[in-house]
Amino acid sequence: MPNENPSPPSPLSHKERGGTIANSLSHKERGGTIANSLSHMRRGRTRWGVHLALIVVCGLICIPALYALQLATLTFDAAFRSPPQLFPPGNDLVENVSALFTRLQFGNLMLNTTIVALVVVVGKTALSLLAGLAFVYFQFPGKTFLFFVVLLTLLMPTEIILLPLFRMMSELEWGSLNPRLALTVPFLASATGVFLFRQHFANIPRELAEAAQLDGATPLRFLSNVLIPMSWNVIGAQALIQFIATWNAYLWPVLIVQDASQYVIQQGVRSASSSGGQTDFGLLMAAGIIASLPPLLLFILLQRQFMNGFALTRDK
Amino acid sequence: MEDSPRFERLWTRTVLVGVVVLSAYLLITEWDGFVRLAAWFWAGLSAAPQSLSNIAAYYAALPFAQLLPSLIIGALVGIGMTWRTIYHTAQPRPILTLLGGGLVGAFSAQILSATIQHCTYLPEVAAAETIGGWVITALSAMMFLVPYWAYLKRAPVSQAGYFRQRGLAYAFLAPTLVSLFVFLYYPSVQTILLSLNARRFPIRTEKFVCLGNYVSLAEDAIYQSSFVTTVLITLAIVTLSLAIALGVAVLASQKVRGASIYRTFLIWPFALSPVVTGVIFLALFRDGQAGLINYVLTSGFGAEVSWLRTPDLARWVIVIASVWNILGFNILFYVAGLQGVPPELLEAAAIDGANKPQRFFSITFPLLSPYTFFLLITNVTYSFYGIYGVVDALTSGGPPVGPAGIYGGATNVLIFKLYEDAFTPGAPIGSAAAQAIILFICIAGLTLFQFRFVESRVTYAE
Amino acid sequence: MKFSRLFLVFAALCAFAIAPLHAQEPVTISMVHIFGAENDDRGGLIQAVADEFMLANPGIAIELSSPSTDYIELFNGALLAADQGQAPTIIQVEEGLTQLAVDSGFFVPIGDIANQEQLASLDDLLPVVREYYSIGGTLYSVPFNASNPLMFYNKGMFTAAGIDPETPPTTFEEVLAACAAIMAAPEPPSACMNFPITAWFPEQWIAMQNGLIADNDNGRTARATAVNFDSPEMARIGEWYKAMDDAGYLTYSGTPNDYQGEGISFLSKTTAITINSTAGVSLFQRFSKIQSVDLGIAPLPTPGADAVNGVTVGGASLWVTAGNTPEQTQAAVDFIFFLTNTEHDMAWHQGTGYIPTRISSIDALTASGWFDENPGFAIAVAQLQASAGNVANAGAIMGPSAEVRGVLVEALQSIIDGGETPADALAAAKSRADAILADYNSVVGE
Repeated sequence: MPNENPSPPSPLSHKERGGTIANSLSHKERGGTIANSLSHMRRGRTRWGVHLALIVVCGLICIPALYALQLATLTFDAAFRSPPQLFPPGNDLVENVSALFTRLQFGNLMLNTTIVALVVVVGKTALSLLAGLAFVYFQFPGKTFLFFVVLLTLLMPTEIILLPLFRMMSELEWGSLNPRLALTVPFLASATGVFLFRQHFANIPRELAEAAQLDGATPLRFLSNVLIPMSWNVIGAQALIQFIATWNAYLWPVLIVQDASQYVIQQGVRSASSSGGQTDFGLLMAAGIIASLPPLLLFILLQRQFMNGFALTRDK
Repeated sequence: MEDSPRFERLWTRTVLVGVVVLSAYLLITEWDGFVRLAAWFWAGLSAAPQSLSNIAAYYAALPFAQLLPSLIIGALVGIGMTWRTIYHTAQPRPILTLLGGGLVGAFSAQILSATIQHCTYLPEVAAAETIGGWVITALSAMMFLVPYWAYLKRAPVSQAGYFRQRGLAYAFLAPTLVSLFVFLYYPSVQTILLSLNARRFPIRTEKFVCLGNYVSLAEDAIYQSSFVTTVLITLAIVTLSLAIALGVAVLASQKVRGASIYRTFLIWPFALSPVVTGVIFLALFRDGQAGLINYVLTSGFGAEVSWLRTPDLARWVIVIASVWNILGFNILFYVAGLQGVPPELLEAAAIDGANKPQRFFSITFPLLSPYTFFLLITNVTYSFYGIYGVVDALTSGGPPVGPAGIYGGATNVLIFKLYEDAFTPGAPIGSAAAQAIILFICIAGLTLFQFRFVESRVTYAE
Repeated sequence: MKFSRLFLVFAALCAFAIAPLHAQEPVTISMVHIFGAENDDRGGLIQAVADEFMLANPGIAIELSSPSTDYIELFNGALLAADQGQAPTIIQVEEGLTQLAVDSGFFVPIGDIANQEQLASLDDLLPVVREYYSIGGTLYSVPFNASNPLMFYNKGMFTAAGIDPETPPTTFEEVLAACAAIMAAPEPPSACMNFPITAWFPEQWIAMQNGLIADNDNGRTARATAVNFDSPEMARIGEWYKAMDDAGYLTYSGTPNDYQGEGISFLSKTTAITINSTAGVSLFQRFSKIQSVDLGIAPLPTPGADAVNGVTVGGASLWVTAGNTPEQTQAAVDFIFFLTNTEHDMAWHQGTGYIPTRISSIDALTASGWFDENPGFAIAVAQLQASAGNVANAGAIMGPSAEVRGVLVEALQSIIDGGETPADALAAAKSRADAILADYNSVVGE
């Protein structure tokens, strides 16, 4: 899962060229659909070739996961065998999964991770919205400088500051007493988000803001009543990537969280890998699969929103 | 809006309530943590005057001969940049602007130079370090010069559409700025400071070595090979994942029944963490019958391949695992991008007699360039940083190359070596900090390069 | 005056109230160890001893935890916690990290905080074990779990190859001969032998030949400044690896230090012989029954009939961190000596397979016939007792031991996988290790 830096395509210069993505890409307004344009190829044949190709590719992509699923159905002893039983699937998937939830406290870990991910997502979105609002709808001295300051952090991933950040957590005693804060507060600002929302807001016609000003609306009201409703797709897309990135975070939690009851889910997967001094591959695969379910579900649910959020921005 | 306004308002309201509840919950349960944070802030702020006087004392004690070169270099860079700006855009009072540029440059150059304690300007320092010092000073000068340049180039803007309450803008920006400063800039400075020392975790004593860590790294055969390995693996991952993703995205954008289901099955691996990916591929590529691939090979062809013990093969396993992990992400964006290609353009080209490949390369591909550009950056970032989990699970730095691994590990990518040098007991964390800074410079350089040269080639639809 | 009488009464009442409160407040100490995995009963054994101790000492509360099952992660985590001022009172530290622990300044030598009686009881420790954890005459930590490598073999495959399953090979040469026979048998396994590629085994084989790993008496009289990877003793070991690999007798999982994977391979009948730790004896015995493997256990093969100096010790010891209150320190020391006293030492051995660290434990177990009934457990004990007890057996200590061991492992890998000659590989390893030592020593400043 890639780092959430930098921002997805929100082209800088199209505005200078006098266009908006919406104008240029809203083929719907031009009365066409991809289906129509490609209809000349369809001509009443079912596209077996395409189906076959898709199935083959899907199969290739899914083989590793299928193997993992198969291993997850085996007990420690059965997965022990070399080679492990390939077919039929074993009967111990339920046992493995329930072991995850009882011995390894997966339910608790998922709750921890969900809370952490939610806080990070909400924090990043809120802070980025506010910053985007400030950069687009206000003129103030030092604006360019401050924007540059924020932009520069796009190039500074967390990995380079792990050691000093850890020292800071020690001074604050967050690692031992407030691991939840240690996992969330340092990551609340998002240069990607600021960039994204700035682009998005900049694409919205100025007349809306003028109208709001004439109506005497406060900036916050303008944000909540006008901007946010127009930005749900972008917010949703950004939130999905952030959620997945936080859910999959491993290195920082391992460094900072000492209390096993406060672990995040990836740490749980790691602890499933060393069970009794032997690697229980069945349990480990089950752990990996279970740990990956929530982001997968979220992705499936938000799939369409995600595509819309980055492909098209609607003009209002 | 396609959704009814009432539904949207309800949705907005629910989300806002949820946010408020979440914040309240966090505040209440972690109240003591916030108190300590405030205390820490307060302590930091109260220590600020002391830091300022420390800085003043430092400069007072600094021999002028050591300070002078940094001032000169900074001023020169500043004047050079300002001169260029004046040349291209008319400026009132050019002399004053030039002077300002020189001052800004000289001042800005002190930021990094003071951090390294002007150590590269000592006479007994090696040539490589001196040159490094010049580069650092020049870069440091640019830090404030770029905003200065932006300020010089500012164009008057109409006041329409801007809110009047300026103070609010600062208030809105404050949380982001404070957070970035405290949790990103400040630790980065500390990383730089750490990289100037030789230190072994967990021993507390340290030795100031100026740029010695950087010079040792440059001369270290293992670091060099790690660098080359990272570049090669990154190239492989990025080209493969982008090319395959584009092909699959085209396939997945065809109008067939169940296309969205196919898409889900194609895209989902990106939601897996690199650790889980690494573990799954370990189960596939292990030696002996325990690994699925070897089992198939043995049953089918009677031969077995030692994937993880052969340097080149191990690299390819890492590449395959990483491509598998990130492919879904690329496909997702390409599918989104393909949906935005206007069909009329394709139809017009078809009428003009262009065949499918020609249509693809002259119309579709350029229209996808914003996505390609974005994905390039993301994939490169993943190959540099995110790949750690994959390497850790699969090869732990890979089979050693050369006698006793004097050429490093075959899959010892930069980020893996960094963590090993940071978190092994007795490990040189000063060198690890230097590696982190070098990695940052590489990524920053690559990203800036991509922004300047690739983005200009990106076509945006008009 | 009335006032003063009232005040006296009040003070007395306060004293009355506070005193028992003070006495009731328990001294809390914490200990971290690596035995916390789900299927691992060894953590439970320690907890039982802790419960017993707390029963006997109501004023002391012991918190056991296992933040990691890996020695290095445990050490890292504990020291990071120490950085935060949250150091556990007792840390189980792997043997190789001894010098680093000393240099870190985080620990108090046991020799400085134990009382007379406890110090006297240290004479009961096996000399080899005690020597390992003493530097410059001071005992820094109390040995807890001592282990040795052992050879495990598949008796069924031996019989099929025509070798007497009760006389396993005892030297490198005999292993080569046995492997020749095994691989020539009608249905040979895919390889004759597998074992984890680790630095621990070469360290044993060097000790057996009365060789030194590092200069300055294995780093004990002064800081190690160079390693002896180019010694003839090490060359002999390298040559054997090469011979085994060239003949196709040796295989390994592909990952170094993979004790688990190699054990799995052996128990899946992929090979006929393996080397693993005595700490895994019970696990091997259990799984060999499940896998229908007729398990044989034998001492580690020596480099040759002349290599009789004996092994060094592996495992871990218990260290007390600095920065605790005197009560906590005292409680920690008391608990450590309680945990490693003769009675619990015996129980620990019987429950885990780790070697008893006390002579009195070994005597008692011999007298009770335990070793006769459980010959598998006796082998490691006999092997360790046979050590000559000189500086070669004391084992090498150096600050960057983790890194140096990694270099040796890479040398071995380059011999097996990379096709390098042992001379080249070990020479390259020496230059790398010497550079690491030089860098470390320059930082530490001595």
